[in-house]
Amino acid sequence: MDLSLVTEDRVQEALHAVRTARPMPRDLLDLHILNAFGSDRAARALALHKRLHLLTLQGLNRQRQVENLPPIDEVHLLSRRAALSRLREDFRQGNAELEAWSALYHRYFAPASSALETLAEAAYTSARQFRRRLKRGLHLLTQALRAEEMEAHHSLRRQRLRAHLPLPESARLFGVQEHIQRLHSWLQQPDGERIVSIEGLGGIGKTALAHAVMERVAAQGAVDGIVWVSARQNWLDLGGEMHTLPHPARTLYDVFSRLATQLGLEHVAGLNLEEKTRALKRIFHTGTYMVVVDNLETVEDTRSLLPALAEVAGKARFLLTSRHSLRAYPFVRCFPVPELNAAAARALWLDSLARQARRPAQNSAFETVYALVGGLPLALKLLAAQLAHLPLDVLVEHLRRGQAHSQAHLYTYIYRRTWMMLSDPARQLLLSMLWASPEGEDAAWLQHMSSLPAPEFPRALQQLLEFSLLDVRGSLEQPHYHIHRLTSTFLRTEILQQWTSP
Amino acid sequence: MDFPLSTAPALQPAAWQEEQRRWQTFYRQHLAGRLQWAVAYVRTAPPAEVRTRFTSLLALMQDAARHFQAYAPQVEALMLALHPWPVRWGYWHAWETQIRLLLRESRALEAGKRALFTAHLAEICLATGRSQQARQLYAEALSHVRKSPDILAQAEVCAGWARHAVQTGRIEEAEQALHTLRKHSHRYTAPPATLQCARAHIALARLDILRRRGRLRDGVRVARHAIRTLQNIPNPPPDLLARAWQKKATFEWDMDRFHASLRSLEQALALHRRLQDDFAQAGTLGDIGLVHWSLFQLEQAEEALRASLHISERLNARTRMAVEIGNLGLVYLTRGELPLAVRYLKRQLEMARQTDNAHERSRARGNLGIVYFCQHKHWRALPLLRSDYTFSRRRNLLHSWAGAAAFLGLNIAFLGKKPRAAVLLREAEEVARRAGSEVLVGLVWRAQAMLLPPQEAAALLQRALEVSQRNQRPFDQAGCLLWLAKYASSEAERQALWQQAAEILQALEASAWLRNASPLRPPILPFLR
Repeated sequence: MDLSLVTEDRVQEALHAVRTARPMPRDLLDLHILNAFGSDRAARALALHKRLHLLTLQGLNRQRQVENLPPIDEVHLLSRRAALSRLREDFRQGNAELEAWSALYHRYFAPASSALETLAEAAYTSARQFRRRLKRGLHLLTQALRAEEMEAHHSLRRQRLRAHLPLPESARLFGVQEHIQRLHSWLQQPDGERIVSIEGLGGIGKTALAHAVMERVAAQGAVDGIVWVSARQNWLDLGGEMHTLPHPARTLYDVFSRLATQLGLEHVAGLNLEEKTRALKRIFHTGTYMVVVDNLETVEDTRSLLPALAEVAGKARFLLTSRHSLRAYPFVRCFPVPELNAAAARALWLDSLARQARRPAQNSAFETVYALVGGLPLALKLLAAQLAHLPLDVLVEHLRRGQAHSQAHLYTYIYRRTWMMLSDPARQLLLSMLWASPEGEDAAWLQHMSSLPAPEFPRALQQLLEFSLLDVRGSLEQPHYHIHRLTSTFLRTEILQQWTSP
Repeated sequence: MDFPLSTAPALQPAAWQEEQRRWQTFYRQHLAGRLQWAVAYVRTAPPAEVRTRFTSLLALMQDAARHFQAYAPQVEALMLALHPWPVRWGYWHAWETQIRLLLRESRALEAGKRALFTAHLAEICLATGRSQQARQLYAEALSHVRKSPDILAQAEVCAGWARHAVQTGRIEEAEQALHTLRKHSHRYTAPPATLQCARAHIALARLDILRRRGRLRDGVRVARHAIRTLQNIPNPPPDLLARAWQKKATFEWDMDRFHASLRSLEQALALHRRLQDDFAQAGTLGDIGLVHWSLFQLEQAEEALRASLHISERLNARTRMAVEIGNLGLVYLTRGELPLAVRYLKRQLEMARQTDNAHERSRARGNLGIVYFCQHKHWRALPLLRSDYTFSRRRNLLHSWAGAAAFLGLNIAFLGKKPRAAVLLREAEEVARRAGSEVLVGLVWRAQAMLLPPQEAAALLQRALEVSQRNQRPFDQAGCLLWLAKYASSEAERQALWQQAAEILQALEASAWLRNASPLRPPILPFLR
């Protein structure tokens, strides 16, 4: 919708249309604020009239409040006498805005309608003066309508920009504001590298960081589109059911097909890589787009993907997440995700402790733990959960043992320790998580897979949540639970390691 | 402070090993139980719900597959309960891996089931463009199924094999196999519904043969009978019923009954949707697009073809993609957007080569040849048209053969070999008559008129015009009118005819044909059906 079409003349035409049962101006029926009413013109016309009515009433009541007058209650304005009395009251205050809103309201929306001359007389003013107030009221209403439309437009735009973003995995992120700021500014630089790579170990928070950066981009709304491609992807069918895509994005062709689909380039569906490349190049040269390729290491032909992305980039910026460093590529700007600094790690630690109902304190332990594991977010979360059940000296002793080896060993030690602190039903449930989709499953499925009876299952689930072993996605009504890839690796390599066929 | 679990000792190596052993034992037993539960779940839950759990079920099966022999009965049961849903939902890659594992590892799989899985594997290979592998697998499936007393498996596998044999030109072989099976079907003891389904499988496979033989009326009759038979079975199998509707639609399309064909396809689509069979939906949508194209409803055609292509690309159904890309090329050719048509048809050719699909390769060549012909690139068109002509003639594909002969004839005429051209155009008319398509005959007349002296040409064009009017084919009408304008006796008549054609083309959004054209130099609108 072009805002310049929302003029006083059109708004007045709309107000007259209602009074004279004529059709509403077509331009106004295209307003975004009416989108909830579908494409039926009659429904949109009715909704527009209601909106104009409400905006006028709000404007009027706001000004009445300024003058310490009670808000208008339309039930009490059913008689003409009562309506004219309120109008007189408004005009007695000497408030120009109140007079303008009141004139507009009583002329077009009051339940008991009156001729303009009658209204002017009731307000102790001339018809000419009253018309002036009315014109001013129309101006105020048009401004209000434009402001609403602008907000609806921005909101719709933000919504559209977020359409391809996956659901966030973490409600709160710690110590990443600076990273988000830096990555965001890199992506904004007009002559900066087109491809930025977020790199680091599993569990360091690469995907969460990329998501947060894109959220900021979407909130600013200064781009034409945001696209998110992952090796694993979900799609919603027409009935609103979530499915995993049967054919994951593994190759350059797959990645470009997904990009083209998300960008609405339907005309290149099925065409070859050259055609898709050409189409992407065209769109990326004409608009500003942000593209995320998550879990780059799972794409088979990374070597051909990166130069291909650089070739099509144009004004687009690519944000990749990868376990492997892309330093070898001169056109890629690398951002190795550092461990959390002490302050951020402490914040995460305290947040994790606060989730443990059994032991809220234990702040003093932080320095010791941080000195041993540093700022690995997943490790800190797991350890904070352990501390609710374990004396600090025991925890520290085992960490020292783990630290003597490598970082991978450190995680093994932490996981082993967590495992030993779980109840048997929780262990049973955790093992059953191996039979859940990588995208997660709902509680009903997990209960069936774990075979835990009804009273035990919620307790086991709660325990796994307390120990930060489960991540939750989806809505509050229908949460989906899944485990981190490192947890899955631990279960397979550490618990089921010696399992051979009987 | 209460610490219920002992800590340090549990992490000692011996203690940890004990812990591992305890949970491995649990896991082993628990996995068997969960597989059993999953079998019951899949058998009773609605498929739409099972679909949302498929990746979890797959994780369960994959875990069991690591120790296949320990869980063989449960894995087999779960796969049998699930099959063929994963194929319908498009999880081909994952399901192919599972089927291959089952076929390789399972010692107790009954011959009929083994044959069915092998045949479905062949279908996946065919859909993803691995026709050589598909051929081998079909042969294997056929040899397995002969050892089975299961008539339904026999019929399904034999029908699948026969369909593939017909596609690759082995019509007699297919006919013989189906005939033998039909003859012996009464020897099998099975519930009546099973026997009816088995017969329906055979009938549907026979339809492919009837089509190749040009027996269109017989085809519609057999398809209608199959539909009636299936509808009379309690709980008729929707996939089979949908296929029967789709086959019927194909024959109706062949017989120029386009609206009836659309109605049949709508029936098929509704059933496929009910089954959530994405791949079959793609096929039906593609056919709907083609029928709309035949009705010159180009916008609807493009929409349906794009929907089909979209699904096919998501499923990586490369064989189907090649078909739809080619059909989109036809839509652009009809609109006169020739460079765009070339792009699509070249892509179709490339994909048909990759998927080793001789039929689509020939179709792409032929249509590309038509575009080059329309662009007056007659030398470039020649080998392509000749190749399509040879292929469709050898395979006895009557509609394609008639069209290819007409275009090849005209192209040769433009290269100066008029006697040979006349022979080909006569052949085109004869084949068109044999195909029983009046529309096709009318198209050939229009082609023949190009080589005749003005007066005779006008008379033949007039007849072709009547055919196109009678069959409500505006594009063909425009094609005749443009050339009738050329032979008009007065300027006023010429302008009127030209104007009439221009209006038709504009309504079809195909005005591009009139670019750089004039009543004295009219464009040759392709003879497409």
